[in-house]
Amino acid sequence: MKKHNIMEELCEEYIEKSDEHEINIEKDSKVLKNTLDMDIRENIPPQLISIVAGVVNIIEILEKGEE
Amino acid sequence: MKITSFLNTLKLNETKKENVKINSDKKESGFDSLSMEKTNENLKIYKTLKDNNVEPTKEMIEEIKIGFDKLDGAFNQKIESLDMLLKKDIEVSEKNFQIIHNSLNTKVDYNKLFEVLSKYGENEEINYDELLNKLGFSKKVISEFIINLSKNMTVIDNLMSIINNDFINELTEVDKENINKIVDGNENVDDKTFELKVDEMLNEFEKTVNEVIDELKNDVPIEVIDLVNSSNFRMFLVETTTKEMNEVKNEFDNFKKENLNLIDNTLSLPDGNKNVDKKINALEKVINNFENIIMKSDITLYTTMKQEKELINMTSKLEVAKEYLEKNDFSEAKEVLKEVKKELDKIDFKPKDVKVKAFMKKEANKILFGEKNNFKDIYNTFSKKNKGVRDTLEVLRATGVNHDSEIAQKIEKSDFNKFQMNNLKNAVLDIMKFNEGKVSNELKNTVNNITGNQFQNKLEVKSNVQQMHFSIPYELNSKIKSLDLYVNSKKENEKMDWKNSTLYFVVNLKNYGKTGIRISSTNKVVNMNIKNDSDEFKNNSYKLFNSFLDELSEEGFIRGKVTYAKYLDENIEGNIKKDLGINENKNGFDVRI
Repeated sequence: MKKHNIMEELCEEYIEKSDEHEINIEKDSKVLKNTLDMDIRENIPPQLISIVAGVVNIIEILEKGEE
Repeated sequence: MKITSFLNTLKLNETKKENVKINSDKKESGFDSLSMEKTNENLKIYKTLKDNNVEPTKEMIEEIKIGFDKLDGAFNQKIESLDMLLKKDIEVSEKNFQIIHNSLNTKVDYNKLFEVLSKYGENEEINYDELLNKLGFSKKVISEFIINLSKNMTVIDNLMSIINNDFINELTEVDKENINKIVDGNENVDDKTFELKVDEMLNEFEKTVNEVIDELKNDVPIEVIDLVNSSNFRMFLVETTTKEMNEVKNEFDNFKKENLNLIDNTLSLPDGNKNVDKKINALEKVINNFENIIMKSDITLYTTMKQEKELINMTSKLEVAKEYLEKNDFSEAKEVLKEVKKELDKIDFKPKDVKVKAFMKKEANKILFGEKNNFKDIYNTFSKKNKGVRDTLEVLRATGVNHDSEIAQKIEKSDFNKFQMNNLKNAVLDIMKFNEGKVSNELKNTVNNITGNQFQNKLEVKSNVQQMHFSIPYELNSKIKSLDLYVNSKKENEKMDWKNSTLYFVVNLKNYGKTGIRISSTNKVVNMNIKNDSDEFKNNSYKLFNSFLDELSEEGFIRGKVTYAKYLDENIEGNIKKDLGINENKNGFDVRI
């Protein structure tokens, strides 16, 4: 329970600061705390993104009907 | 709100029962002890809780059922939402339940969303204040110019009226000179020094700036063309671009210097067990630096795809060197490190023309229209063709899945400079902020849907396996389509392990119908299994997928095979489902992890 409360307090601080600087952030601390440890730049290595890029490029070629 | 009270019970129970081992044989007897009716629903909820290491109580199950009543959809979909919340360690509150349930069962309609965003951004007024300021005019000229705007004057008449007015004495020499240049169509200007400076600066980006100005002439109202065409505006664009490119080049040079030094230090440390940890730590720092350069810095926003691939390949090689060190194989590690050092030494930052142009145009739009038209940049990010790694990462970021964590990181560092978040969540939140009370439910649902996607990709702290789902937008004939991606990967240092991952793409292709592409990397060996029912599909895609496998082997993967199967081939489908934990639903081959 303590861990969750600390996270919520931190999120409330983020919300306050974002208001001060007129930046958009999720305004419900209970929701916000579940979105913070998701950073695709940190969690996914470039090698995997490279696979995604390759597939998207092939899909686009196939969609256009080019070989 | 009852579910929220359930949440507290749940969390307490979770702590208490952390070490409870679930014995499948005892499941039924466990359920029997709850004295509940043995319905299919009760049993399924019970099992979902147990599967997620939560010891169920009768009260919990009752409250979850009340929560379920408030959600749309079939019972199994609600179970799936409950399972996802528990798996991701998210509180089972009513709001979180709604968010995850909606995002699992509805997709963001990108076309509709862009329609709405363009409606809100329809009144595109030129930001004269900012534009004239950047063109070098004083406050006096700017304020008079804005007053004159209400008199429906052209830019030229407006400036003429300022220079011919009684307050000409209040204008600076620069003002007069600037006005004359614009009024005279940038000709007959005496200031040779200024012109030489422009010439000198234009040299490097002359072609780019001309192209950008030509495109802008079609985008801006006719009365602004004279300002956009002025030498001052051109110079502003060139100056801004030169500054940015110089900064990025410096960043790259520093990155190179720091990492060459780190590699040198690692190589110079004597071999032997004593220094293994030191060497590994240094290498981890270098790997981290490489990943940051590729994923976070401005550098890869401008590099060519070839350079991007070289950087990824070096990162993969550094990981190989680290593996050798972990096995105390110093000589092999040294060989790989020397190779990386040589390659890094050779590489120089050279921005790609098309990326420089995109930057220049973005800066021009910022000055002309302000920051409010970001959705156009988002659309351009989605519709860009032949994407590299960084481009693809930018597509994912533009969907908004990274929004809150990036904002929090900026707030942590009190970094409020150069702050521009170009993503759909930000764009919609902006509209909601400025149109409070007048925003459609559709927009509110979109924000919740994006938040639900963020929930789905939350790091699974307790598990050694990481699962994620993305909807990846791309453009086809001026419409945005999307591709579903399900990733299942081993976790290594809170990161997905590229060497051991499975990616499953599902898309409905215009010419070939439903297509599933399963790509697995097992100890770096990449195999592709492609499922489609169209007769021509294999012929038309075989070369593409095979060349793609070749390309991947240039980035550290080991080439495996490409195989094809029918989309509805039950055996293969069954195997894939088993691999990824996919549940079949009424749509046939929709996949969920």
